[in-house]
Amino acid sequence: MELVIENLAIGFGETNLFAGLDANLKSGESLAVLGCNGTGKSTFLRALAGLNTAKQGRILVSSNRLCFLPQTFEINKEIPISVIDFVELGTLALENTKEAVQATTALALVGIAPLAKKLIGQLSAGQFVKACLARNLVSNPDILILDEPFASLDATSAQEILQLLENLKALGKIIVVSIHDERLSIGFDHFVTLSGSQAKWEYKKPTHKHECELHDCKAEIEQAA
Amino acid sequence: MIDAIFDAQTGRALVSGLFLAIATAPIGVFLLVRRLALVGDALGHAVLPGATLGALLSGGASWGISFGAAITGSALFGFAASVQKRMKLQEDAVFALFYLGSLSLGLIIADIGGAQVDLEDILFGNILNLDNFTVFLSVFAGIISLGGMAYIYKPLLLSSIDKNFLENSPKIKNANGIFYVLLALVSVAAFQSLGTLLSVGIFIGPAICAKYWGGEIKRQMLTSVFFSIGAMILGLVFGRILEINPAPLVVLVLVICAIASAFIRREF
Repeated sequence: MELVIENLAIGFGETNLFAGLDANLKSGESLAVLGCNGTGKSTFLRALAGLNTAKQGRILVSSNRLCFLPQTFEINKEIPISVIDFVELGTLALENTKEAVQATTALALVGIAPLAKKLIGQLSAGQFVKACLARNLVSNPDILILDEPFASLDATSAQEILQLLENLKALGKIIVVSIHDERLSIGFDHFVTLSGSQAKWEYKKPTHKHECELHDCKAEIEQAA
Repeated sequence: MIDAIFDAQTGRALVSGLFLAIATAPIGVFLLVRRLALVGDALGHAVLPGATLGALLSGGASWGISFGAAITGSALFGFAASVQKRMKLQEDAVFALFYLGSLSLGLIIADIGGAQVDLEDILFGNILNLDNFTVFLSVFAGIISLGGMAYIYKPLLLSSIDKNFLENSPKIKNANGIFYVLLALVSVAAFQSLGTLLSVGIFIGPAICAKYWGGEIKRQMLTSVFFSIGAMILGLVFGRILEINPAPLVVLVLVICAIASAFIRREF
């Protein structure tokens, strides 16, 4: 299983958020997408998930089992549905529901099994992110694309999700995550750093990961101004 | 007195009413949670131009009224959906605009039709004077609606909770399409019994009652059917006793139940 990005350009109209990105992810590898607000992290991830069209280049995915967790949810939490039933709805992503992971297993994986019978409206923001992640996991995806999943989580929950992503990697999944807080990117195999108006991009091999220098967003913005 | 209440016409009304109750209540629960209560109202009015035109052309035959209603109901949905993006308005605003237009057009056609169009029957229903076709249509709508809702339940629920998840999935798109077809079918079946002005009450009333009695959405759908059936029976019985049109009574019972439920079940 592979995720290959060739000469990718993403942008709106005539503006490029970035261009010329090449990347290659194999089974069991993870990619952290880093950058300030507005540099195109979400747009890039949506393109990977097939929800946006790239301006140029190609994205080749060798599996159609791909799931995407957006940064913001337009969820109607007033609908009275239990967490377990909500997670089980993720099987609709599959043609053959026999391939699905049990909803109880997915809930246990994300660490909220005791909340199975609660209504989704009773979950905290962090618990809800985990429930959404569990909903994605029931379709047994090969590739997980998560847009800032840590944004509404406390430090403990974020560490739990990071550990979960490690476990999923060990199962051979490809993980792509956009991250605002670079401290959470330690442990990822590859990095793409998007740097906004200058349309710079960076792709580092696993061996370089500890040398990865993150852009100082504030300094860049001031420089651009 | 019992014989007087349960004569043949009341029996037909009861059969029609029970199947309508089964058809409308689960759809109403979804209309409510999707914040589309006004869409149900809009559809009720959208059938008016077709219903009056059908009455005019068929000499007041119920099949003509239903056929006309089905055509304008579907046309409004298709048209409103297609112009929504163009008009850059919220869905409810577009439907409000179209239902006012439909209501006006229907009243104009009824005025032109004169005595051939019984506007009171169309607006307020005539459940105690149903012909075979209308009873059959209610039974048909009840069975199709129940089967259809069971078939689309999961994808419809998913798109009601999170419209972005699997937004491009054919399962989701089909479920939403089928939901509106069922809504149109049941609306057409319901308006001859309860009228275009009141038929939305049998969709939304039971759903609001059920909301206060809690439980998950499946249980609320079941609860709403109980309220719907109860209101239908009470409305029919009191309609016969008081010798008045039962349709407003059915809706009034539901409104009272909804308000009472809100007070009794304050925790919701």
